[in-house]
Amino acid sequence: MTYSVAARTGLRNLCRRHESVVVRRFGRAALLDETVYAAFLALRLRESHGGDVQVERTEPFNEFAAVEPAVREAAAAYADRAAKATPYAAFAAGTDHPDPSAMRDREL
Amino acid sequence: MTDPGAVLGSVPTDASLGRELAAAARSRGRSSSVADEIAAIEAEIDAIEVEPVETAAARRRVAAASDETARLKERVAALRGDAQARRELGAEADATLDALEAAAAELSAAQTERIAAEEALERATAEARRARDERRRRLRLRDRLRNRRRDARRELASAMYPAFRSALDAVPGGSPADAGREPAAYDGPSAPASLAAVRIAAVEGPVSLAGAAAGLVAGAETAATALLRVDAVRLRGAADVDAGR
Repeated sequence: MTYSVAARTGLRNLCRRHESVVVRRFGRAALLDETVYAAFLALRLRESHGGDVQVERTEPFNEFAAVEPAVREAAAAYADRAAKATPYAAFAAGTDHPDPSAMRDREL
Repeated sequence: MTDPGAVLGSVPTDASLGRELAAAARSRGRSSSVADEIAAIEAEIDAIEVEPVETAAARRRVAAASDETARLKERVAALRGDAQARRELGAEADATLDALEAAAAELSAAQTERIAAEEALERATAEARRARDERRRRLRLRDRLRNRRRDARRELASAMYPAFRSALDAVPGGSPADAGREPAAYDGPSAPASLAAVRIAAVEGPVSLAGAAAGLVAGAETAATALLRVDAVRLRGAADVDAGR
């Protein structure tokens, strides 16, 4: 992620010059390969632009490992609801589906 | 805002026709309808203070603590295996058990350090996130500023366009027929366009001309100062173009 015009330009140039390491490109952000070379490029960008470059590592999300069945089931049930206008909190009230604020307070 | 003289004081200019005309408009004291908004955005940007947040030290500490924990876990496991093997063989195990106890204590301390390091990193990361929110706000403002400045240039250039079109008739090499309806539609050579922009501007100080613009003015019958409506004109040969700029 970039936070200045110069860093954003630097990222754009990086993506153009090293197309093979770029998984996805967004406006001022990019998702790079999980390789040491991609990390090296990200570090170079941060050396050039300091705090205007944020480097984070992403992880694939496995809903079968990360959350319990109730959360997956609630998502499926809500997507399948009859009344499209019902917000999830109302949908979950009085059922076994997890409460949204309780989920908010729990770290993944 | 760019000083008009900086744009139009030397031809060829480094600027597009739109920028030249906007500079001409500003030299005449015109300002755009978004001038106040531009000033407000600039003030807002100036007021943003982004403290550099150092998180590398915290990351390094976590990495070191993790390495140390892993190393000690291995050592404890090895000593435990060793102690058990000795016991099964009926061999002396006291020294190994002492070492095991020491390593376990070290591991416990390392784990405590690791937790502390992770907490410190979490705090540093949260602080960095807040600082990034400010950076992000600043970047958005800068983008908005750039768009507003472009709007202002377009507006000013459009306002000057009728005068520019007439001026093309007065400068050598220029033709109002090339002008079209708006700056983007200009379809003629750039040297007479720059001369016309200078002519409709109020440029302070001498204007220096080089290259095609200098040739056009030198070949004209009217005096250069009258053509460009400036106090002084310096013509530079192609040879000293680089030296003079």
